[in-house]
Amino acid sequence: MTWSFSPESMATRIVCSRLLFLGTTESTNLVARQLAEEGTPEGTVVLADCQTGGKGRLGRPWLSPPGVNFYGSVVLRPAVLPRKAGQITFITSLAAAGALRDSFSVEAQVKWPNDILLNGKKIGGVLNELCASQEKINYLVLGLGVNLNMTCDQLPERELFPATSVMLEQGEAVSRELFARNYFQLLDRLYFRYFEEGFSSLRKEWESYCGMIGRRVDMDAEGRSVSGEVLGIDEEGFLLLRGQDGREERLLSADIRLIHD
Amino acid sequence: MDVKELKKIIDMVTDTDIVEFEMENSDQKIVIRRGRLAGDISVGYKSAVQAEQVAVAATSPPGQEIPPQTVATAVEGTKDGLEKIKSPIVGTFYRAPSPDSPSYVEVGDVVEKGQVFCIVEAMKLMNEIEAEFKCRVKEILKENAQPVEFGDILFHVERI
Repeated sequence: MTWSFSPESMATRIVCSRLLFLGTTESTNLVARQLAEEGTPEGTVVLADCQTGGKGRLGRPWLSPPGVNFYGSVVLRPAVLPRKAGQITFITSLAAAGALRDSFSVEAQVKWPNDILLNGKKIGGVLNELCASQEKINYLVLGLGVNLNMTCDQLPERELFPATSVMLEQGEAVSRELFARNYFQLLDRLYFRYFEEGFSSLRKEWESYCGMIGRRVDMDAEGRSVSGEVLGIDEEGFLLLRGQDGREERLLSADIRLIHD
Repeated sequence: MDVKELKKIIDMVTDTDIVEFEMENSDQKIVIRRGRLAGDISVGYKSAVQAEQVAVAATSPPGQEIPPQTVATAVEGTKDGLEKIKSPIVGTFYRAPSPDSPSYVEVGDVVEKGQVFCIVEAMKLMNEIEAEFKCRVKEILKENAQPVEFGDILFHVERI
């Protein structure tokens, strides 16, 4: 894999303070966590051409073939209480959707809590991992995988949500480097905006990128089925849903399917 | 007073310009005092049966340290010599990294410092709870995939 950017060329304040480019690795999150344990500076980025053990929520595999996609992780050490870390994770999906829009003029959207969609299909996923005691974050790793140039036969066969890539939607191959640069620059700006303006500013932007607001969904939430209309997210990032009985619910973890009327 | 009630009071004070707040009755006393940094507050809470301190810091620029007045601990002793492992976030408690993996720990297991007890997940943020000292698991208080609140006790352990 050839990447031509360097920390000096990125014009970022923290993200990409150190850059590590890997060929094949088990998982960029795993490497980022090891580096974080060893005291790597905040903003360290790990990029890989291929992952042999990429994973998503609850250990679900994330297919990561070589030469086609983006797989990257960032180490952050925000000076906030661990219970605020959930707010910061929304910058991952927001930066990914924003970078897709900026790089390829596509209408990428976000899906709660942290997926990235294109034309209603899943194009990217995140896995954020926190190491903290009750009062202090030791480190936070923001991991992102985005399907850029995956072909049909490379896509996962059985997924909870239909998947796609930018190339499949646009009909031509796109630049991984362009996406990576835009993603890291946007992530850096959003990270600082979180501290300067608070979560409410990010929340509004995230909601404007979310195609699910006002839509009806089916959810498997913490072991029970819930149906209702998506209202938005609250100050802590929980999903607000109006159930069929008219009552509002706050959800913090769920698999969501859109209902197509 | 439970954690939820305490959090409600902290939130109420944080949303106002109140600098100091004190509440006392026959068996407990709560003092909330704002720090020097705008938005930072410290909280002291004492009851007849236990003393607990919780502190919160408003968001601060990256790299700025949380003031040393933040003294909450994830591990807390109990009367019978066992220690409590608490949840640092609101989330869903998972005993294993994936549904078909074995549990990180079982009752009776000896856990080394740095070994993982469990995961608490919220919004795709996976928080591995690690042991801060070598110990034996005496009790697991939550079921797999159960929602947990900030400060909920997850395990009782015996320090070795």
